[in-house]
Amino acid sequence: MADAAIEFHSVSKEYGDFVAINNFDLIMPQREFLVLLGPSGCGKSTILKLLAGIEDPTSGEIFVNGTLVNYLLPRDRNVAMVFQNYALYPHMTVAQNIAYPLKSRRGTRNKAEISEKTKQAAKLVEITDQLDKRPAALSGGQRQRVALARALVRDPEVFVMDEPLSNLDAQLRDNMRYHLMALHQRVGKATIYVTHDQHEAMTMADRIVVLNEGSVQQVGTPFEVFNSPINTFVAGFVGHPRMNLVQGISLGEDTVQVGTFSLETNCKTYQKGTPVIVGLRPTDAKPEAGLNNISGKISACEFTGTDTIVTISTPNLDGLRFRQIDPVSSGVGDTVTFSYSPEHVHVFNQDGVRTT
Amino acid sequence: MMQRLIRKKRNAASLQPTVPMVSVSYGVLLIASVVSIVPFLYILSTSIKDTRSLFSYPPDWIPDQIFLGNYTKLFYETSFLNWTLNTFTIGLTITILKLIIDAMAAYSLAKMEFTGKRLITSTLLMAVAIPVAALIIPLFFIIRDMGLLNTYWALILPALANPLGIFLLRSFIVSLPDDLIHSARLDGASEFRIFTHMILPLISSGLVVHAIFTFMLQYTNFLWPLVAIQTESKQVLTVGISSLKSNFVIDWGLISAASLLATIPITLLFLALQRFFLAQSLSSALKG
Repeated sequence: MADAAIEFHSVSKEYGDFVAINNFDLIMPQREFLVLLGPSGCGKSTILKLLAGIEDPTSGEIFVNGTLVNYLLPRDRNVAMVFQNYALYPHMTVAQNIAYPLKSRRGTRNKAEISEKTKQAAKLVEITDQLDKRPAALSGGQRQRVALARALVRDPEVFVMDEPLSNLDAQLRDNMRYHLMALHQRVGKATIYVTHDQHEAMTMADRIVVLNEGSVQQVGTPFEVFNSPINTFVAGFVGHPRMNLVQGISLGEDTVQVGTFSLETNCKTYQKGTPVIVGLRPTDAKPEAGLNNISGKISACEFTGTDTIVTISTPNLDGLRFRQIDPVSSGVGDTVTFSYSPEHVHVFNQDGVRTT
Repeated sequence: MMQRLIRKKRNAASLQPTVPMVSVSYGVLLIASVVSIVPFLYILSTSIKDTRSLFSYPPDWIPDQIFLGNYTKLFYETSFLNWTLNTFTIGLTITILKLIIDAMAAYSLAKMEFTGKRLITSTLLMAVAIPVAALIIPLFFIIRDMGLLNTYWALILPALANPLGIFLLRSFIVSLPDDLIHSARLDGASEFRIFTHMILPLISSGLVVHAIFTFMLQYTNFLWPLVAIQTESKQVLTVGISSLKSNFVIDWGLISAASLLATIPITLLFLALQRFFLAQSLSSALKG
């Protein structure tokens, strides 16, 4: 693809018998903000390391702006990386940290140019008043900004960020998330961002790649991934509270049976009697009787502040969770009814794949 | 809540040293100080007495007349200055070379992946366990066959092969995060630049500790120089001072003067660098 910023073609990475990345394919256009999302150990950081040149792939090809980079040294790939622990050089000042990529490259620029570029990068992330300090004297958020400035200063073709916000507290993380998105808009470079936080992924990404055990599960916009999860892993991993996944039976004609309840769905169903897995997001539940009703007794309530997550038990189903917007309308022991629109009733086959 | 506060206060009070505890502590420290400083004072006293007043009874610590003859004799009639120069030349050469070699070896063992890394590490570890005395005879034959006996190289080369420093520096480098090195690589630094600009500054306290250890070890080394060097003018301080004692006469005044002067440089070095030394001892203690 001529205008692709990054391309992975059948890239695999093995450590002995352990397969960290299995046949990874991805084409990423210019300016895209792509998030790699998955649980710990799914291989998302390994993909970044392969792209940056910190690790070599066992097989496959990686291109940056059309250039095969498999055999290039990290410094020749023009990929800037922001690390989870910032990786700031503790013995250097903030200014020296930011200027380091310019100074350590061949074809050294003159001092005035380095100083000017350092100040520009510092200004972009708003840390111009911290330039003479050492990293140890900075807060977590400031260190993160220095790491960003160091990545920005050499005008790379691609940015990669490995869980850059995971060490910050919740409030600062919100701030930095906004800051990162604004920065991405301004700089306009293709960015791969790794996180295990689905909220971060949903709010920041143009596209999300959901990974599990080294394999791609789904690639799509946050809307697609959330509303049309391709399999039970994605369905369970994306979204909070977690999607209810229960055993059911196809009744044919776009209807499935869960426990004693019949639910209409927009997903394709199988022949009558075929076992299926039915997915119901707690947040899609309407707290009144309607087309697809599920009733039961509340066995637990979790008040979240804006709403309450209730867990209900029915004679055949246990532990189904639904969101109740009105936090005080009913409590433990009450019988409640929730309904679902057919487009919110997700059906997966016995292998966990969406029937579509 | 109140009870918890009172309990906290009590706990804090129990940590306050009592008068008997302080007295015992001072007593122990005083004894330790006397034990360490008396021999030094005795040497000082002996070095400023002439031979006749050395054995007077009762001994006088401070002689009526200070006698500097031992020092003049040491400078004008022995090779003391030569020995000092030799000791410093050899000690500093070994220290500098060892820092360079050991830091490079430690970096590669700590942060690089290569075939045979485990084998090399365990072989080096085994080499640490071999006592120096057991190596003297094979070392003598090797150095003799190389034609290096009675040269400075006979003292320098074997010292460079001691792998203890590699493990000391390796422990410092292992504790540095890998991402720091990855980041420097991405920022365009060559492996050599990473080594000189990242690793060395970040393990500076380890390098100082290693330098002090190495220099002190060489400064006090006796057995191998005694075996490897025959010419008196090429000898180092330890062997040189011991040679002042002849078969028939022991000039205690002269030996004391030499010993006293020999301790001064190493004491000054230790005092100047003790900050790093103590910091390292404390950090290794805290790391557990």
